Amino acid sequence: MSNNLRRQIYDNLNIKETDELVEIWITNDRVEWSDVAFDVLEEILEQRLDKIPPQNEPVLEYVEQEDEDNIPVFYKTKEVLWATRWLNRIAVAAVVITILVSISEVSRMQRIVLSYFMGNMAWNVVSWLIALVIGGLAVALQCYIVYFSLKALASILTILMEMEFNSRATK
Amino acid sequence: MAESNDEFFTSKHKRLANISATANVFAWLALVFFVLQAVTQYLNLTNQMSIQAILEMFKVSPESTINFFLSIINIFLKGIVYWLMLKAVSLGLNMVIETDLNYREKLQGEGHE
Repeated sequence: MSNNLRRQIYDNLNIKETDELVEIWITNDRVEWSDVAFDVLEEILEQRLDKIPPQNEPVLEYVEQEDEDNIPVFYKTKEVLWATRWLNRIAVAAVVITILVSISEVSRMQRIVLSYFMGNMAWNVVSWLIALVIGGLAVALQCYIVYFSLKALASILTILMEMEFNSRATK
Repeated sequence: MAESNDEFFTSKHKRLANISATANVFAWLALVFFVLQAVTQYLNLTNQMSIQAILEMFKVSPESTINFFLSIINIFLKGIVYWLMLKAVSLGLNMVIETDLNYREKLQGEGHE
């Protein structure tokens, strides 16, 4: 089992460029990479290089980069990043749901259009075409409004956060 | 509405903070409202029909059954969209306040130098 894991790590690391492996080796990020991964990495680098470069001090935990005095009081940065991420995701989900819901509306719209032709079945194809065109346009407009409002809101949040960050830096 | 220059957190900031807090409250209200609406719609169906009957209905008319569940998902999604939008508005206003206060702080610092 452990040999399998080691083999898997070896295969995964072995396909990487030497420069990339050297960077991982030097950075010595023990949060992102396991001890086994570093053993394997050393083995690969020994095969590829004459001399393995020295490592930095091991990174055992990520230290919060934000200066204690510079933390915003009125909002949480993580909350903004979270909201931005979800606004982008929901924008896509909203488009999918809007399209799915609207598909079911097309047949209803077709019946309405057909009723204008006194229910004459000869106009059935035409009524379907009209319903599809009108329905398609309506859905496209609806999707456009929902998608771009949410995307815009996500961008505005990012820009505002950047502006706030820059105002901190000018202190 | 007189504002002295020394006043750091002005009435305008307070007003913005109030709007932000209101948006935050309404975000949760909207979410609860739409989730309840979705649940009510689902319960309404299950009260009228058993799960067996719903499955039967799906066999007879899959289109209307799918439409029904899609409409519930749509209501739920609407709640999430409103919630996220109002949350974003609240966060945005808070960031505007923070930015303005940062610049004021800077100006005040320069004034004292």
